[in-house]
Amino acid sequence: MSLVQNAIYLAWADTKARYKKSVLGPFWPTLTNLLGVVGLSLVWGTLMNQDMHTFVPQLAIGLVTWQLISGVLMDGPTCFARQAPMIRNVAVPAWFFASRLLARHLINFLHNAAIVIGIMVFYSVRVTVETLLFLPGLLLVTLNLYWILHMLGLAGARFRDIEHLVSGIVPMLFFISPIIYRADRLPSGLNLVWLNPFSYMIEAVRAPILGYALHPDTWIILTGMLLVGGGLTWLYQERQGKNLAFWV
Amino acid sequence: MAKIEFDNVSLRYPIYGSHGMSLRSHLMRVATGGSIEQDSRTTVITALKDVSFMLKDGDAVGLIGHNGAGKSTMLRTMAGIYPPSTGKVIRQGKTATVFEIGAGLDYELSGYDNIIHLGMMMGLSYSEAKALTPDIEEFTELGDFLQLPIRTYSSGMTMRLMFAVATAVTPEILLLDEMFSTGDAGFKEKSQARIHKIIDAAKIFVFASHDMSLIKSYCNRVFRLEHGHLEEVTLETLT
Repeated sequence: MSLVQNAIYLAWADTKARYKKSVLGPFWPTLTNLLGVVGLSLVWGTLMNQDMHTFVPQLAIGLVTWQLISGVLMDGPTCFARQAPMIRNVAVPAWFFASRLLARHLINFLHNAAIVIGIMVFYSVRVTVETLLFLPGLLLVTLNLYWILHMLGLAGARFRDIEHLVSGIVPMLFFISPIIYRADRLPSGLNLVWLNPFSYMIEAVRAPILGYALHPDTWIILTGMLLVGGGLTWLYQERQGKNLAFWV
Repeated sequence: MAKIEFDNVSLRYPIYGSHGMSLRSHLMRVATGGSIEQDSRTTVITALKDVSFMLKDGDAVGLIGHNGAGKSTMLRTMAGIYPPSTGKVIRQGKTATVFEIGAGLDYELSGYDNIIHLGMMMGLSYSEAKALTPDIEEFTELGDFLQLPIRTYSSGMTMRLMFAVATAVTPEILLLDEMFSTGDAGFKEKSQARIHKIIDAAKIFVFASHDMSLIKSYCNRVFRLEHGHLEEVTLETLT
């Protein structure tokens, strides 16, 4: 258990080290995202003739959650490969590196949450007890992201194409994820969005906060993904994970 | 009580060429039912062949052999980093390793930060790692350099730091690779005293080196590795 604490501490230290000597520190990406939200709101909100009072909060939450997901996806394949010197020299369990990286992305996410809170206050989004339902959603998303990270890390260490494959797919996923738009307001021709597992992740976090109805299958699908994906990752780690030191 | 036991251990590992790392070639192989096994680009290296031995408390082993004989692989197998292909490795006791110079260090961070990070990666809590700092300060004699980023260190200084951290909490098993001899005379003397302390505390020490005089001064058993075969030789036969 203390290794988990250590992973979180080290993730925090990683975050601080990355922005050493910069004035804004870890708030740099937050500022970048804020600019992104403002820019996208102006362009897309106007283009699609949206009511800014609902559109901007919706975009902000979608974008910040997407940052978490895409960050994990992009960093996943190099999760272990980048720690090669450590893995080849000290017997540290693989999950330690995966949790450290996930913790780093969660810390980033918390920084970005400041944007969401600011925008929600600005547009006076109504907060009720039901808003708190986003917490179990976020928990499910986090657990799912863990196995995805671990799995991508193992596969990416063994097969170096995975890294390029993932970085090719992620930008496309952006368009078939409900970030700019809301998934429950799609024309029927765009049901493709519901084939994308990350749609459920974004909606599980966003719908409770904005108080609209969640796709009824969301919880089942996220839990199912966690069980199946987590199981497969465990199996892969059990059977092949010991060879990690040869791969990196 | 610390021990390391190897029971008929063989270790084969694949070296993946650019082709072996490719997903496409792997999928093609699966798709063809694996009958066309063109593994010419993935070389399989047999690093250890049927190695058996038993190390117990108080053993200080010198590992010798020419370059590529399998010394580093042997140390990594002892540390539990490489899994044996066949046979069994039994290891009991807290293990510390110093193999590659700079492994696990963050070159942008100061020496102090790295002490904490290395300690925490070895499983210490923050306060435990912090408590080691005075001892490491004293042992490394790096003084104000500990406040500077590691990238400003020479390899000898990096070595001092790594060795000090690895041995700050007296390990039950200490595994050292040869590059450890980069230190200057003062450091050699200090590290020698520390290694003797570990051996005296009835722990296990394994040291891979080409330097026979160093091996003679530290070790009471000598293993010679040749093409993955292990043979125990007596200290007296060393030249």
